[in-house]
Amino acid sequence: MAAIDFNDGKMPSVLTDVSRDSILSIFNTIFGAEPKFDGKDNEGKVGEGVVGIISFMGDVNYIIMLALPKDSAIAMASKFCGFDIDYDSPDMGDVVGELANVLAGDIVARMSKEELKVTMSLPTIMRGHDVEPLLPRGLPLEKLSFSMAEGNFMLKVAGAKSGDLVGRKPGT
Amino acid sequence: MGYEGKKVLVVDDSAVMRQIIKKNLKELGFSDLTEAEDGAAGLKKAGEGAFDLIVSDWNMPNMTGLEFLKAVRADANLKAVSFIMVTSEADKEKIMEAVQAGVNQYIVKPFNAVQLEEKIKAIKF
Repeated sequence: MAAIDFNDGKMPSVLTDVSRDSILSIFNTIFGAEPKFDGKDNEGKVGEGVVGIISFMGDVNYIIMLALPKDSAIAMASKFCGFDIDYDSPDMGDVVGELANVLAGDIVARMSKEELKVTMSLPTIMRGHDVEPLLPRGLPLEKLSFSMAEGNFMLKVAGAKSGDLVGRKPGT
Repeated sequence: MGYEGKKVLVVDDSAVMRQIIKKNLKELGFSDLTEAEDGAAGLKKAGEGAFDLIVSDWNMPNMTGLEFLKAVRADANLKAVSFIMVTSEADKEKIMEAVQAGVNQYIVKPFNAVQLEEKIKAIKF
């Protein structure tokens, strides 16, 4: 597949399809049940919550934002770790970053099967009320909504130019 | 399986992941566990203790797990230490890169204690 730019301002379906499939697969493995995909909800808000952000660089530059409302974050962190994590502790950001990291690893492998080579950044964490990084105008953004026993959550997929990417590259 | 007395170094930039891996290792019978927050800190600690096993994340700041592995294998005092790479990336090229650098086992997140034990048993250290 040829490299992707966002010159038409539209989100290529491969990015949202791969992201959705990774969520369904990875969350099923971690939490023991597949989340329900509730569709695209571009007006959706998370409210108070934690967001794990990963950038992808390569044949396509884009960003995913795993946005967990506070109650979902608490429930998912407990299940993921096997012990409770205080919402206000730095460990909560660590858990959400790790969830985003595991998800991104699966996305890299799925993108490779689509013949799109990308590398991923280290996770960046934001927390607060409806927080997200400042995204450039004119680039597409899709919000995918999910629900599961541990609560609702959202995955935002945003197109990017290489200079807009969020997150540090691994290594020296 | 008698893992009592085996020294393990757990390297991950996520404090929570270090806790999870240590919890899994304790469930398997390991008790002598040391941790480090990235490859650079891991390399320093590896040089200070006679470890039987290193369990390291791949994607870390300062020094990746792969860079750490290569440094371990290039060090005459450390090169025989068993090394398990823990990573979120299941890409074949990544796995091959780790194998070529001398990794003993490769485990993809998310994993549980049973899967970790399978990898440890396969090393037979």
